[in-house]
Amino acid sequence: MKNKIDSKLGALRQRKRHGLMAHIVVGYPDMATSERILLSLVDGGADMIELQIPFTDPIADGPTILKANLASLEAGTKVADCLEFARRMAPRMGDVPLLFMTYINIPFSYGLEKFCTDSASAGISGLIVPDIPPDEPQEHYHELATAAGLHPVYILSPSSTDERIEVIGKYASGFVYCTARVGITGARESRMAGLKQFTGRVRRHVSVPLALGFGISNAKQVAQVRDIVDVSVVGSKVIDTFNSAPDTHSGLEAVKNFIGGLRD
Amino acid sequence: MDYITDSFSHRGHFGKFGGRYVPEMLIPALEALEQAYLQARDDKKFQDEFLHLLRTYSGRPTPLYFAANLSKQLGGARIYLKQEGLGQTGSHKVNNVIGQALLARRMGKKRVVAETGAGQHGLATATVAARFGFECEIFMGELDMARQRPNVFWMQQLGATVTPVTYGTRTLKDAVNESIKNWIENLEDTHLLVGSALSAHPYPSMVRDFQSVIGREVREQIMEAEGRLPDCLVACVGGGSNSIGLFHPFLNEDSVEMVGVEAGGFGIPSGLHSARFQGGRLGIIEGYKSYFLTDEDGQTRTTHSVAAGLDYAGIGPEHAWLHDQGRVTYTNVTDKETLAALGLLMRTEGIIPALESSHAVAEAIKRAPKTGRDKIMVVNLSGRGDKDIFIVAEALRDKEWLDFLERKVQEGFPDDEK
Repeated sequence: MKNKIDSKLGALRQRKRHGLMAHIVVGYPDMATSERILLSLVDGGADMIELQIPFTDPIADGPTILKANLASLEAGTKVADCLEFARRMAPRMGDVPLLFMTYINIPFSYGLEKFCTDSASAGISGLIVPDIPPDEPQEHYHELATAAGLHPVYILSPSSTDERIEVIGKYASGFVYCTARVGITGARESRMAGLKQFTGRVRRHVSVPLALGFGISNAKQVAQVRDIVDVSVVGSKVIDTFNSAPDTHSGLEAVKNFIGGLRD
Repeated sequence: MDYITDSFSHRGHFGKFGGRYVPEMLIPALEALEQAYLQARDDKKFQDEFLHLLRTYSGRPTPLYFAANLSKQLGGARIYLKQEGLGQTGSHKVNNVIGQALLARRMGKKRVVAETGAGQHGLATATVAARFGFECEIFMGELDMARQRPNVFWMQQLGATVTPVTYGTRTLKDAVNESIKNWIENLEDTHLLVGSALSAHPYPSMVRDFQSVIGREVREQIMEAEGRLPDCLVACVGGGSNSIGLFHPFLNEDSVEMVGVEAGGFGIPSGLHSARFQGGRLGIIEGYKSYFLTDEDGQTRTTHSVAAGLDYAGIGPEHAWLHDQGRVTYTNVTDKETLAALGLLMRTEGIIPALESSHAVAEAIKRAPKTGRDKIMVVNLSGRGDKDIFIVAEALRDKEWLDFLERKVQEGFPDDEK
C-alpha cells in the first residue's frame, strides 16, 4: 500500500501547489479540544499534520510547545491515549497523512518495534523524532520504522555540514524537514536570507521533497519560500493563535482562518 | 577483565549506554568539540597549561587526609578523606570547568553556558569565566535557586547571568534542558560547559578525563601514606563526575572495591528519592542512554534529595555500564542519614562537607564498622558545606539562625533609610 505522505506530496507536485504541514500537541489543551483543533486545521486546508506525543523533556522545543507538552501531561495524557487518538482520527482525515512527532525516549520506552507497528496500524504515516540520528548504531530506528511502512522524517538545519547532509540524504524517506534557522521551535521570525543557499546544499544530496519550518508564521513568509521548498510547516504559531482567542469556539475559527490564509 | 572503555572508538558508547542522541542541528557542534578535545588531549602544551592552572589557580593537589578520630570512633577501616572542598570554588567541579574553559578558548568561543543544581558547577563556571573573560549564563531551576541562594549570589557577583528555569520539576534536569536549548540557539560563539559526566558524546568521556586528576592524585597520595592501594573507594553519585574521577584510575585494580552512593531522599519506599538504580528504567534522555527515573511511558519522574546536586533523574552512562558489569557497587543513603553523617564528621574531624559529599560519608559510616582495621577506605569529599548553611540550619531547626534571619530582614539594608 502506498504511503499517504507520498501520495500527498505527489499530488501537490502535480498540481504545482505548495503544501502546508501543521502541528498539534495531543491532549492540549485537553483531548477533546485537540481533536477539534486537528479538524479545524484540516478544514483550513492543512495537507499534513504532526501529532506531537507530549514528553517531559522536549529539548528541541521552545516555550510555546514546551508548555503545551507539560500541560497535556499534567492533564494525564498517556502514550496509549495518543495512539488511540490517531486510531480515532485517521479515518476522518481524507487524504491528509498524520505523523507522530515526539522524542526518542517515548518510542524507546514503549518498545521501538512495537511503537512503529502500533503507529502504522493506528493510521500514522510517518515519524518525526528529532533526537535519534539515523546513523546512531544501536537502535535500528530507521529500519524498524520503514519495515512498519512509516516514513522516518529527518531534520536538517543551516548548521548541517555537507557531510551530515550527505548522511541524511542516504536515509531520507518521505521528505526532509529543513529548519529555517538554527534554534529551537517557536514563532520567532526567521531571517529568510541565505535560505536558498541552504536548500541548494540540501538538494545536492537529497532527492525527496523538502519541508521548511521553525519561525514560519505568516503568508508573506510562505510566499517567500514556496518556490524553494514543497511544504511549509507551522507549529508554535497554531498554538499561539488558538491561545490568543477569547474562547474555544473562536480559537478554532482563528486556527482554521490562519491556515486558510497562509497560501494567500 | 578490562574496565577501561575507549568510548571514542565506539561513537560514545559504553556498552549499550551513552551515545549521541541529539537533534541533528547539534551533531556538527558535537563533532567539532570531539575533534578539538582529542587534539587537546594529545597536546602536551594544553595538558601542561591545564595542570598548571589546577596547581596555581585551584590549589591542587588537594590533600588526602587520614581521619584518625572518625576511624577510631567507627572502629574499622582506616578512613582517608580526599578533600576536594579545599580547592578554588569549594568543590571538584572546578577541575572540569578549567579543562573545558581552555578548550572553549582554543575553539575561539566567547561565551559559556552551563546548568547547575546545587550551584557548585555554576559557581565554578562563573569563576573560571571571569578568569578567562567569557560571557557567562547559568541556568538553574527555580527550586534550586531558592535553596542554594549563597551560590546564586556569588555567581551574580562574579559577573554571570543566572537564569531561573520555571517549568517542569524546576531542578537540575530542567536546567540541563534549558542550557542545551540555549546552546542550540547560540552555536556560533558559545560553548556548552556540561558539569557532569553525562549528556551526549563526547561530554561523559571528556568530563571524566578532566576529573580523573582526583583518582590519580589519590593513587600517589595513598602510596605515599600507606605504601599500597586502598581497599575501598566511596563517592556520591549525582550525574557522577566526582565518583568517576575518583574511580577511573583504579578500575582495572581488582583489589579495589568501589561504592557509588545515590541519594535515597525520604527513603526508597517513599518514591521521593534520586536513586536511579532503585527502580530506574533504561532510557534515552538529554542526549544519552542510561538509567533514568521515569514512569512506564518514559516521562521523567519528580526526584528528591536534600542535596540539590544529587537531585537528578539520570546517571552518567559510564556508571550505568560499570553497574551492569558489576564492577562498582551502587547503594543509597537517606536525607536523614546524610545529615547525621554531616554532624558526625564536623564533630570528630572539624570538617564541614557539602550535603552531596555527606552521602559518601554516611555510607562510610555504615561500612567502616564491618571492615577490618587493616583495611583502607578512601572517601571523596567532593565539596565543602558552606553553601548549605540555609538547608542545614533549617533541617536542624536552629532557632538562633532563624532569629538572625528575621532580625536581618527587619533591619533591611542601612542605606534604604536615606
